[in-house]
Amino acid sequence: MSDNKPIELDVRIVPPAEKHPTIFRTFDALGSGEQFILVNDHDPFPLRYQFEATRAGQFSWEYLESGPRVWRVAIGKS
Amino acid sequence: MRLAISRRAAPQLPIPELCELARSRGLDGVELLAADLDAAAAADAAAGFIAGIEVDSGAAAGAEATVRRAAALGAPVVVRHAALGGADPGALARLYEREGAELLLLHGSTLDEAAAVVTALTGTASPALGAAWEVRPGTDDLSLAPALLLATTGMLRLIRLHGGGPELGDDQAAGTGGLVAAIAVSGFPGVIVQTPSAATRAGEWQQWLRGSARAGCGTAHEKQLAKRRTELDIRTVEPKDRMPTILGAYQALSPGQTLRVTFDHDPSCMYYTLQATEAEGSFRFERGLDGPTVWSADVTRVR
Repeated sequence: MSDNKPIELDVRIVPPAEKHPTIFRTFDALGSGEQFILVNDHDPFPLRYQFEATRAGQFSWEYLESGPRVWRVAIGKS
Repeated sequence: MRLAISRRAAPQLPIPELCELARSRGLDGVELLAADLDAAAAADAAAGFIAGIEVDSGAAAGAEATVRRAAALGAPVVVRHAALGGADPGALARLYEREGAELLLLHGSTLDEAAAVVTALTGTASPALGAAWEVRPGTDDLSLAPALLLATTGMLRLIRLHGGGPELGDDQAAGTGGLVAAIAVSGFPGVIVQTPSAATRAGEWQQWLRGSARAGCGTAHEKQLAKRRTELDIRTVEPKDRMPTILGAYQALSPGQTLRVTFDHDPSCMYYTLQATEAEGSFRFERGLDGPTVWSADVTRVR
């Protein structure tokens, strides 16, 4: 993982079938206390529900930018 | 990291209009061609929004007028390293340093090409020079991506990605997810320029760019149509409009009615969203097709 700049994962250029698997693989590879910035062209609230259902209590979720064209969410590992 | 689009996506559009459409897409810049430089210099819309200027030879990269215009636009000139011909990277570095401009040497997805660029950059040791990587997910060996990114760490400033935009649904785009993750994990600080995989696809890209400009009414229209359906092929809807479309169609169901949704991704996110937003026991969810390219699910409104 990078030293100080957070990892920025821009899923606007990831095919639909690979978006969520790529995000979860990136999250699962994080160490405790690390985070990455998810970049998307819409509010990724369905992803948040999926995180809550499959990784409850293991993640943090903070909107850094909320549209109207770009959303950035800091997703951290507890 | 920033995301941009190549001029090749809409070669006919006036540059201010292209910049406006790219902005409406939430993109951070446009990579122009050398032939655009005269028009671009006159276009206010382009100021600070040019991700790069693609030139095709060492001679073109060394043309003083080009270097000055690039400096004025604050954009790097991008030239394929293998196309430098007799141009000396050291002399180019001095010219670009003097003019306050930036030159990126482009390599493909082989370690040999990347190594040649790294050698050239190390030889000149100039801050005016950097590396660029052109990657074609449909044909390149993406397993080399982490090694390429490691070899060019600290030098790589631009990635030209063939595909993206309206091509994300193509088979050719398979594997892009892993590539994007490798780029993210490498801490790449530069810009990714998405570009059509073939010139013949520019029409689709232009439509894609325009689509977002009127996304407001398109979305509402799509939702309205979806309300009357019990079968929904979500693959034809843009990712950003998908979940509102599905939820609109679900909410329009009468108790006992079933909505069949066809996806190009696993529908788990739909299940978890319904589970989180609808009353417990109010719907039934049954998976149908299970990939790897097409998925489907039936969701029944119980009450």
